[in-house]
Amino acid sequence: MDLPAQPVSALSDDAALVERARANDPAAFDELVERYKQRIYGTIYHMTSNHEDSNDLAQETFIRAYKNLDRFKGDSSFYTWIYRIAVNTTINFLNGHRRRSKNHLSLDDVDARIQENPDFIERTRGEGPDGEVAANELMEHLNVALQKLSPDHRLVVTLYDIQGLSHAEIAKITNSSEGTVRSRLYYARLQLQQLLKRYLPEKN
Amino acid sequence: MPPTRQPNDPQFDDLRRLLAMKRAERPPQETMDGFLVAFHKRLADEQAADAARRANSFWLRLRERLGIAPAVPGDEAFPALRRLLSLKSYERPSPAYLDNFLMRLNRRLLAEQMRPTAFWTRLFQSLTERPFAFAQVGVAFALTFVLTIQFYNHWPRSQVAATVQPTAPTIVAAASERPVQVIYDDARANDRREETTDSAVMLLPAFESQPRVHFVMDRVDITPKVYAASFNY
Repeated sequence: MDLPAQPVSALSDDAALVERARANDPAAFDELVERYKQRIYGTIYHMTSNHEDSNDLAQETFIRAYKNLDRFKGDSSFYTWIYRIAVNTTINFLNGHRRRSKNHLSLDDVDARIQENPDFIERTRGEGPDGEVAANELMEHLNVALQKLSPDHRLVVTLYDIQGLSHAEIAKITNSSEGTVRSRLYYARLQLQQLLKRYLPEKN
Repeated sequence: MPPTRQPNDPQFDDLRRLLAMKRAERPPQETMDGFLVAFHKRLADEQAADAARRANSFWLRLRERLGIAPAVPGDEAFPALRRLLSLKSYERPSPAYLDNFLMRLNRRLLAEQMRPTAFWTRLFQSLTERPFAFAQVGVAFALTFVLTIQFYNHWPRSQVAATVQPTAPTIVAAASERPVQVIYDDARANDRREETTDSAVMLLPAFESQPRVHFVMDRVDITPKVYAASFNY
């Protein structure tokens, strides 16, 4: 679910696909869905920590995008625009959902390659031989810790530290200044540092 | 001066022996074993709660909203945490889920298109997607409301009163032994006096537990501006 920076060709491709989708070419919109489904799902999943909710919200994001294609003026990239829809849809859901009931956390599959990651090996040393169990346990702890953040703080951590977006991109998506993004990121990390102490070295 | 009691006063011997038995009481071993872990967990929770309070403080959020967020340390302050969080990117949905995503999306899109959406639903949805527009509409509604109230309050009363025509009052009442005298005090109808055999009888239901009192209205003064009534008990 890493999100590499968008190459220029991809952005211009997006614009062409959006034009075709506006001209009632369903295959063009399908192509946009294929392109972004994994990142959109990933962002939503890291925000909700629930597979079913992420599934629904990811679909809702694309439905809203499809219905509002005419309103997409091209001031920003399609990629920023769809992210903004996903983020607004998710935050609205979280604000409403928090009042209704507690979130039920669920786990997605953990890529087996995590067991080769030096950071994972270092942090789960001495937790037994079963790497898969350790990975699941680590993911569960990360999800629980993330859920303790407010939606705004969780969002910047998800987009910056997990998805790899830049401060400027996050500012565009969240309609705020870069200073606000940095501030939220800092305060979110302060909280996470306490919540995830167990996995962090003492000096940190 | 009151006599001072010594700690080893023999009169407390029994009590001291009793309390000494408490020394033998020990917490369960498992509690002590897990004490440090529990302490660190609780300390971390408390510190996280403090950090959350600071992060969500009203003034900080206000400054963020206004775009004057305080300068804060950057990525270099959290190297280990950043590496830990990056491990989250290994968590992915199953491939089957992503394979079927487009099919499920198209099915849902078709169902959405078949379903008519109410105007209010679309308006609300469109406004919630644009919080700024939502705020503008809210302010516009509030301003309209305030202006309407202000306009109504400052409307010249004489113009309203001028529309009132002195007409005979309508008295709906049960028959009573006492007649009601209706007097028009209006200058134009000052000489008109009417007597009617009907009476205005009012029963006050609030006094259910007490004997019912009949109020008989015997006089109604009418001017174009003020209606006043007096009652005889």
